[in-house]
Amino acid sequence: MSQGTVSRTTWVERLCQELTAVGGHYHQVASGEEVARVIIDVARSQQLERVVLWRGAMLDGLALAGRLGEAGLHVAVIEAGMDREQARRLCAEADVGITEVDFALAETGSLVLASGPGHPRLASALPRVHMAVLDPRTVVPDFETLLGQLQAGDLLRERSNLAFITGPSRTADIELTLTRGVHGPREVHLLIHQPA
Amino acid sequence: MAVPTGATFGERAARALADARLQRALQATVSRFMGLRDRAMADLPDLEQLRERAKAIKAATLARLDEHLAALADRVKAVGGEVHWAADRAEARAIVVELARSRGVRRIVKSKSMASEELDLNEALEGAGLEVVETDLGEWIIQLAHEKPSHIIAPAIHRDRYAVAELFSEVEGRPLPPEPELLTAVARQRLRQAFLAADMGISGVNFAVAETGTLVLVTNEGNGRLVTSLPRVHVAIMGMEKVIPRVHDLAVFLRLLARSATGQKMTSYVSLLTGPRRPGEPDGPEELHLIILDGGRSRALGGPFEEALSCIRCGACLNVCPVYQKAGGHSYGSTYPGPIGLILTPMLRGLEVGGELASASTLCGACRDACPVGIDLPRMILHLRREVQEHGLAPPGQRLALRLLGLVLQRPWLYRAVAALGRAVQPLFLRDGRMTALPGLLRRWTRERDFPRLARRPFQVEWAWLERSHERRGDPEPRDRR
Repeated sequence: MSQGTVSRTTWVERLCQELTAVGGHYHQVASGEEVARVIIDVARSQQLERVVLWRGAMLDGLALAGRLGEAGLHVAVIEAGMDREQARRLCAEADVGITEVDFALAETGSLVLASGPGHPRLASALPRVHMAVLDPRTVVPDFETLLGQLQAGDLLRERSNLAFITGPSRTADIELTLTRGVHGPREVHLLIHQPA
Repeated sequence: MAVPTGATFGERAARALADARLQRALQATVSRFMGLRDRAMADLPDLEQLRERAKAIKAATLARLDEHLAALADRVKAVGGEVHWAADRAEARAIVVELARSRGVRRIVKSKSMASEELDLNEALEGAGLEVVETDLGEWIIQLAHEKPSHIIAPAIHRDRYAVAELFSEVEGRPLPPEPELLTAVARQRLRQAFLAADMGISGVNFAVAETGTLVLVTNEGNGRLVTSLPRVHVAIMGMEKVIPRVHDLAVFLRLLARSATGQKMTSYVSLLTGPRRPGEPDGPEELHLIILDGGRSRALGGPFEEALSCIRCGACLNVCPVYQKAGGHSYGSTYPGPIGLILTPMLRGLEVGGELASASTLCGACRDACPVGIDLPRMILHLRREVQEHGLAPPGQRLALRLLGLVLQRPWLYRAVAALGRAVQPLFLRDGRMTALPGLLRRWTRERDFPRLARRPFQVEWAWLERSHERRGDPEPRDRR
């Protein structure tokens, strides 16, 4: 095991710790089948049926649309050329939004999602439940590393939106009582996908 | 529980003090905020260093603000946004109204923005026949109640759950129980409809990064993401001091802001917005407009109050301020309450409007200790008091009292004589060791607070005695001790 792998394991642990501390959930998964299993379990336990799915290299490789559809979920995939109205409608109707994660920030338990073709912002903003699939190689330890990588790459320049998502949507505006899911998702699940 | 009214800070604060329900709400809020903040700050190993860096970045940026703003404007345009410069509040309002008119906008959703509060924007938009909905839960509550925010980050803390339930029951047309979770769910449903119907979203800006043209928005509820993603037009309003030079500066400010504001390491959402929707992206606004607001800020550059432009609006100085803790936000009668409001209000609205707030401080220094960017508020408050006196803006009674106090304090013999007189007559006024009602000029002091008992032996006498007794024992002199 190389030094890099050792520290990455630590970062992933920290990420999970911080995410849990803010009310998020995480799952270790090794295959498309396992990813689908977690999503189906969460959806069934809350009687959620409609799922919206980002289109992307990683998610496509997991063949989720088919697996979730077979389990009786209603799946909508955001295609790369889809127009604004259609994408918004699908995200607004969905109970569960499934996305990839571009970076994850261990220091705070934050998931960084870039907007892009097939990657609507609204899939992680409108549904009640957000399920994000992570390639652990994209975990960074701290802000400095994250901002450095964002600047070195083209995400910051070429995408209109980078969302740092840290746990579920929350408010404390009524007597400082913490309430989840005020405008955004009340649940955030991180699926850490490490093929066996 | 009502918003305290009155012509002066003193009158409003007196009403606030007499409102037991408001006092309970305030007490619960500030103590909770302070506890959360202290814990979150404690886990930063290099807090002092971070605070120094934040302060240095802000100071350096303000020193060349014109250049940084020009760079920001260039970048925002380069990524497809439009930039509007507003010299004052009226200009900013006119720009938004004109944008709405020319784009055929009818419905507007807003996320929490102190800059827009500064503008009284909602009134202007409604006056132009537009429908405006505040979508931050706290802001929506006060919009329904036709009130102003009473805290920078928790605008509706002056209302308890019962007061919120009453408001929402009216909106829903059915009685709702005073349960925060249920009331929040009601808000989600109502506001979701407003989001989906809106043509324009208006937001504030927490940080604007000059080198990339990126606008950074820090929120918890997720309404900020929806306001900046759903409507076809996004208008972001920033005070001109919100610019930071580099993307890397965010590492400093994001670590401080949420911790200092709500005790979180990170808010639930931080949005980095760089231009409008790009080709191929399935959502995001078609147009992005950035309004850069001066509104009195540039006048403060290079002056004694420039430091206040470093403020990142975390609200920590409100929570720790003994005056805010009792008077609450509405007593200040301005957009920005608390210690930072004492400086910002006269800066933005003029000394005639904001000058009276100069006395709304005990100069205890808690605000300076709490400030995540190290703003020396007591120094500026003192300076402000001097300006208020120099411009003859203080009330006549206060001017007279201060002149008398000056006379006494500059003459040690007179000071001793007055103190001796005080000790001689104080038994007449003492009740349980405190003076609760004094006559003459001092009556106003004791109307809302007690005066402590004067020590039997003045400190000067005590000190001289201590010195002598140490000399007798051959100890080092007390003044040399650490």
